[in-house]
Amino acid sequence: MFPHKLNKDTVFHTQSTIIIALIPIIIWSVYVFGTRTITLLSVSVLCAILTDLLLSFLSKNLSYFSVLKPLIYGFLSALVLPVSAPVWAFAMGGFISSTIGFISLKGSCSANIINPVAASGIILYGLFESVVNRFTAPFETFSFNQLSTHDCKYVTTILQSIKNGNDSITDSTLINTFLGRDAGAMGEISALLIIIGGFFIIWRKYISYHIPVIFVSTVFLLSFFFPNGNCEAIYSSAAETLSGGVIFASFFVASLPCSSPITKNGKIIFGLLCGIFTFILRRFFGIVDGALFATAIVSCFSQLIDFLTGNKYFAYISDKRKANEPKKTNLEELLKD
Amino acid sequence: MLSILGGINFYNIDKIQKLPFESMPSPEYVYLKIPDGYSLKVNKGTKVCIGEAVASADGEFCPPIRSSVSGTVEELSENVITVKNDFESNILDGYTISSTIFELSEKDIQNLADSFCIYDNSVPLSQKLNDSTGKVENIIINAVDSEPTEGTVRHIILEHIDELIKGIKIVIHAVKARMGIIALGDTCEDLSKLIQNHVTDSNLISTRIIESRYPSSNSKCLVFALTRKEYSEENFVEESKCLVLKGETVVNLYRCISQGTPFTKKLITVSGRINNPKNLLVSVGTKIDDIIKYCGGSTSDNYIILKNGIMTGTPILPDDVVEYDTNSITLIQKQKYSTKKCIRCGKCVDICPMLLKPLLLYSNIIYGKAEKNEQFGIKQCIGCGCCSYVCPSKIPLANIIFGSANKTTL
Repeated sequence: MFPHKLNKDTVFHTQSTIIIALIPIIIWSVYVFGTRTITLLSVSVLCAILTDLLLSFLSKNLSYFSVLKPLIYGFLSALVLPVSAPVWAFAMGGFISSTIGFISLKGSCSANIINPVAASGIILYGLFESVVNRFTAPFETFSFNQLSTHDCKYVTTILQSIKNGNDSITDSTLINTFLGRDAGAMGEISALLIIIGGFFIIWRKYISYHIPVIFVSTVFLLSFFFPNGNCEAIYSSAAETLSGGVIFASFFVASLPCSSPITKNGKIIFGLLCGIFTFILRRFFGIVDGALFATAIVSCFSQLIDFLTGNKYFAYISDKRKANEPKKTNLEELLKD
Repeated sequence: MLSILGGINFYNIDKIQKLPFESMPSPEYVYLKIPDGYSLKVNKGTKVCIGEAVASADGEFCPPIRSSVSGTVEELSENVITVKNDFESNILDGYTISSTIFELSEKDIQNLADSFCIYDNSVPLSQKLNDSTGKVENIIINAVDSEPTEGTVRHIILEHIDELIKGIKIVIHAVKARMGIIALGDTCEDLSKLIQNHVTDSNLISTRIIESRYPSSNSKCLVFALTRKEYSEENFVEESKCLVLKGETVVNLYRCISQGTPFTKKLITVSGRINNPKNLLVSVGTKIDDIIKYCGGSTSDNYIILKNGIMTGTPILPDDVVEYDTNSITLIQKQKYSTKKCIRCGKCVDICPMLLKPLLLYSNIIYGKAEKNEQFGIKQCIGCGCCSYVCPSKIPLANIIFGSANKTTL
């Protein structure tokens, strides 16, 4: 057996990185939306962990059970939802993401058929749009024991207002959106903290920079060249990138290694497709924030992308040339028959 | 700086390279291993001197086995000859080489390399020369340490630079190449001045400095780092027009031809859990136990001995002996790693120097689709072990993939 000494890096080190990166985002969201955030996150995480435990018990793989994987799915699937969503939606989010994350595609090592977090996000946003897809104003805090949110006031996010033809986007609106003083889902409000956390996990090599950078810049460039709304293109495109879930989805959801390609070229294609799909869903399908939807669609093709880009190995050109050489036929043997 | 793709940066390699160098006195007994197909030339009680052939074979590229000490043959068994040292160090009478070196033909030099039993990493030098005569343009001297636990290259260049350069000239003459390139690791960067001072014809021999990341001493990686061109394993010599040789081999070739006597010593690095880590010049056939005792014994009781480093090495027993392909001896503590499920982090993909996708290959193998791996280039695997090293789930990727590529179980 070789090698005889291995790296000190373990699965625990790798997976705890993403939890550490999420902590500032969670703290900011508690500050903006109140302590109800903690209740909702705990519900989601508990559901995710219990589901994973139950599934590994049923499939007799209890030795492989690790608490970190469902923890990540629980946190992420809760953070893509708004604080005003009902508690059972968070429980469902944890359950769905953990279940999808548990089932790995046959013939691949631990790849999921679809991105678990994006899948739970689109199921909840799609099926229960009336109760989930509405956002409360920032700094209108909810206490941790406030379970029902029927009587709160709802506001439109910047993204919705652009769609409705808003033309009053100024520098201060953009700065507010960047810092996270705007309405939105719990984890998606502060672009600054998401970028800091994203750089942290890139620096710790949990993800590579390809998917986030290409995803975000594709959305920005496409909405710059095909602007929406009545204000200047640079303002509307910046608002479309900063508000909504593009930045969060690009760093924390689309980059999840369980459902993204492993090759460098594959990651570039993946990020590009995510950006294009987000843009198409926003413009032509009337979806306000298409980032999660696009991620879910494109993540289904990550195995195919891997298969198509995985054959670029060392000296593959000379191998291809050899395979394409015409076979020589022996004339004498041919005439004998 | 020239560098390979992927690979691992080990730091503190220069510490091992700057270990004190010593020549170990020849031990009381040496044990010479006789491979299959060799016939014995000595009987029990025969007196032999240093460099005398004790066994030989008829085939091509089969260098004879030569005694590394002078003394009497004590014991003959099926595949081991034990020679008791009499500490007189009688050296075999030198071969008289009638003409000067550069009048010798290629075949003569091959025969000399054969009879002086010079090996380049377990392959006889004569075979390498024969395979590449007339086909190569560049001789590449591999002066990058092949393992992080190996540090003999610095010593060779410091002490034997004259022999190295003359040896390169002989090899260039022997295979009709155009020029020699010394590929130096960046931990030995300060020695490039020394080489330049000794090289008289800079068109013939030049120096390149290579980042000494881990598998850069592999010939495919080395040629890629120097030429930026990718060559596959088959027809490597014909396509790349490069012959890669170790520095030690070339030095030994010159030393043997100039003195006319075989050189039966080997330069090794002893490191790890040992009291006095050293670079040692030992006689071939010395027991590993004697070397460990000479270096002051182990610092702990619980250790295993590795031949040729931590990355690609094989565990050996204290009863085993130094052979021509032993480059280092490392004492480490045995460690158990528990394998977990793959988390698709993709670290193995980033690190592979052959740009393979170990994760894809691994999943294809364990799900019984191994024949699919051909199109993902499994044949290019050099078995460097980088993917196993970085895997956070501690999956033995290198064993599985290299084993599947070579249809063997390791």
